Amino acid sequence: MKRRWSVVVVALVLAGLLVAPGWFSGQTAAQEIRRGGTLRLVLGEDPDSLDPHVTVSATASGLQAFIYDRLVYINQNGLPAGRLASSWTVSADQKVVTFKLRTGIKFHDGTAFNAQAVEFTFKRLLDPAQAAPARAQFSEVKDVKALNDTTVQFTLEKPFAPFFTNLTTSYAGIISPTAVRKFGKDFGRNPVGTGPFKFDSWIAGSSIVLARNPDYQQFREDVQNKGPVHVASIIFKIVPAIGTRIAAMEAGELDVIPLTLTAATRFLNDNRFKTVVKKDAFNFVFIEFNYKRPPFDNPKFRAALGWAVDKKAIVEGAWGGFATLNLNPIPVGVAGYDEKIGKQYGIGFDPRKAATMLDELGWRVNPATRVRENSGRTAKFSCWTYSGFDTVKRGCEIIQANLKDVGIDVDVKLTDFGTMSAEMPKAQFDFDLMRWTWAEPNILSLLFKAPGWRQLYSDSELDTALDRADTTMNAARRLDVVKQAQVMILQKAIVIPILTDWLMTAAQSYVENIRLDYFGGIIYEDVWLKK
Amino acid sequence: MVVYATRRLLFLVPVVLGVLTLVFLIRALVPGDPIDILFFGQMRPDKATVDAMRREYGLDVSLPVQYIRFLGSVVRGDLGKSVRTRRPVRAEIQARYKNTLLLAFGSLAVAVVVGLSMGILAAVKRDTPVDTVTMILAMWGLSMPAFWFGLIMISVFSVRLRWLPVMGSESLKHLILPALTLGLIASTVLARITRSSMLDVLSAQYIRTARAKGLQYGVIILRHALKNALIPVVTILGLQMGGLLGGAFIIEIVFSWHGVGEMAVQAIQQRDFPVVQGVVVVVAVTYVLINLAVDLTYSALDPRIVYE
Repeated sequence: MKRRWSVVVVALVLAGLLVAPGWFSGQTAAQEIRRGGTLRLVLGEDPDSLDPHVTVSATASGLQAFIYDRLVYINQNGLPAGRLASSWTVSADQKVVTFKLRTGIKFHDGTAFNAQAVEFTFKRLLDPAQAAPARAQFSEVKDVKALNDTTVQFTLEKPFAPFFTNLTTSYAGIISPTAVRKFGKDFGRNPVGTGPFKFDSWIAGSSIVLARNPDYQQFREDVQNKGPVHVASIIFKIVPAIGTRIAAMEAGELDVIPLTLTAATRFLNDNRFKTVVKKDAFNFVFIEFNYKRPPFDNPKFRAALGWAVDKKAIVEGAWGGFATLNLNPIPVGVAGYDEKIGKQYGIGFDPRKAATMLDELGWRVNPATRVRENSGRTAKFSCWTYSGFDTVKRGCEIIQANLKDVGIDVDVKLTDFGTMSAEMPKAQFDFDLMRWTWAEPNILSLLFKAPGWRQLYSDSELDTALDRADTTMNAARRLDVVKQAQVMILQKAIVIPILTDWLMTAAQSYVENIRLDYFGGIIYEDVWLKK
Repeated sequence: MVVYATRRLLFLVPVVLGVLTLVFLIRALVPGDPIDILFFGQMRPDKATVDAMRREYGLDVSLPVQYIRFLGSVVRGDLGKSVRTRRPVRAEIQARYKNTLLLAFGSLAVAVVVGLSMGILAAVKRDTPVDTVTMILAMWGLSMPAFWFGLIMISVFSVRLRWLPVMGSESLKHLILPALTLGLIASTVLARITRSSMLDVLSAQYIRTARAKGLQYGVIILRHALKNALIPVVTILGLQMGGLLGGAFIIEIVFSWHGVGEMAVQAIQQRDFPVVQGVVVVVAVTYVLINLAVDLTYSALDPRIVYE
């Protein structure tokens, strides 16, 4: 699935956790690496801008990651580690973070990377006149100051746990002040950073070419190649239609493509291609409700509805088995995910339990219609989801069949995401099937902290817990709070979690050394072409 | 002729005004705020940022004011700024318009060559197996969706045979498959019209006279019959051109041909209204101009038609 829903897969996770999952594809270290060649990748749309302070689109952010290095990255253990910053210290009150920067690094335009450039970058990001869409993610940053050429200090309003993760996103890529002054508003079409690739050309709507940065030094420990990248360039071809992308891959016109569910079986079973599957991805699919409309304001009714839904059937029937059953209100790959919580507090599949709960709530089956009624109201609701994606549509259809079995009549309503976005806050619906992607535990705050992501939910007890999760800088302690918040969300049946779908990629057989970073992105610095 | 052409050009004004009003109204009626959509499913920026963006795109004023500003800027040749890319819509369209025209005219060329040949052949070989096969092919093409035919073409010529590229608009080689897809489908209508028009003409007395005079059959068909049979065909061509421009929207997506159609489909999905409005205006003007050109062609084909 794509774009908006794949919201910023860009990068995020918090200090602290997770053991590196074993999704590296096995590699042959002994082979002699061939340098050169052009790697052909694909984009679903023309990026709006390559200025990180102008856009938060997933497409643009993905590309910016090639051009701009960040101060820190998240290593294979899920911990922040130095990239452009060699080290850092956090003050006792956890509100001042001081970074020591690496020296001898140059921007693609030849100017020096230093603390002044970092200060310039973040002051521009935080400037209200810039109206940077990503500003909200750094709203806790009160000030940024270059203490000298190699030291920069961030002062936070209050301890903010996602700070380090946010610093790893492409929105926090360090930009060349000289280039910004030179190009002004056109900087987004002439981006200059310190990253492994430098911008070469852009044919609007057609393709973007990035070239190897010959001076690049790699400081990430999870990357094998410590110098300039192996390939000479990357061409991103803009191909909106998924079917065209698949055909182009089969015809040998592309080297790597993300796999959709419809294409997955085809490529996974074809030994002409290499495939990489990441099962602990950062998305999750769930049922959410119109909490302002009875009976969905009642947690017991929401839970009863949840118990009637066969999540395994949705994994198999709607996602073709390319998903992991997930009963936690957080993606499988995000720090703080603990399968045990889902098993203990989650809402599984038990139609008999659902029927009993509905009976207890006064929703009795009318023998004539076989549909439940309560105080003259018939249990007839609609499952709403966005159009254009077979997965969620089929998911709603399975929910419809499941609920019919317990005497609830459901119709499936499809709307394009734009209309859905506009209509949701008006609270004129019953429940919907939704998918979110976010790699940081503060996904819980984004979704559930009042007023909720669609201004429909409010719960002061949960808000307090989520506030605590966002301001606890100690990683282990933060995780405990995140887990408590998940239990609270499940006990109140705020959402009915269902699954996390897999991140799948196919590559031509000559694309060598495909390795994934913590976020499941391919480490292109290590890739080389055997042809 | 000049007076007629000028009158027709003036006719553009109400047409474009109507199109602009309609597009604006549709935009006003469809739910979904472009700024909202930019951040759908993501962390929303703070209110000050959203307000600044709304101001930047002129979305902070009432609809009538937006409408008047919109008309004013179109009159000045300014089609606004894309909500996504923040670049002038005019520049975005300019960069892609030539591709759309290239595809439309490329398809038209295919349609004319194939359609006329099939129609003439079917008429000349009337009631023979050639006629039957030609008309079956025409019916088959008529009933085939362009996007499906496009996928079949990709499957055969790109994936299996690897003769032609699947996607892109970098060279004339990239034009072949999309132009064939659109053109072959359009040729089927032309073939049927040409056949019936040719049959009418071939039974005319002046054709019998030409034959009696011993003129070569080929000369009779191409010089005497075809020219007269072309008038209804040209009318259909004018209408087809609209169809080709519209059909290009789908085909551009299928072949990743980077024209205004592909841009419009993406803009609709992203509620990038200024781009949608710009494309609709440009396509409407193109359509009107092409039909004017078609009307003017009549007099060249048939001297009896005089415009006053």
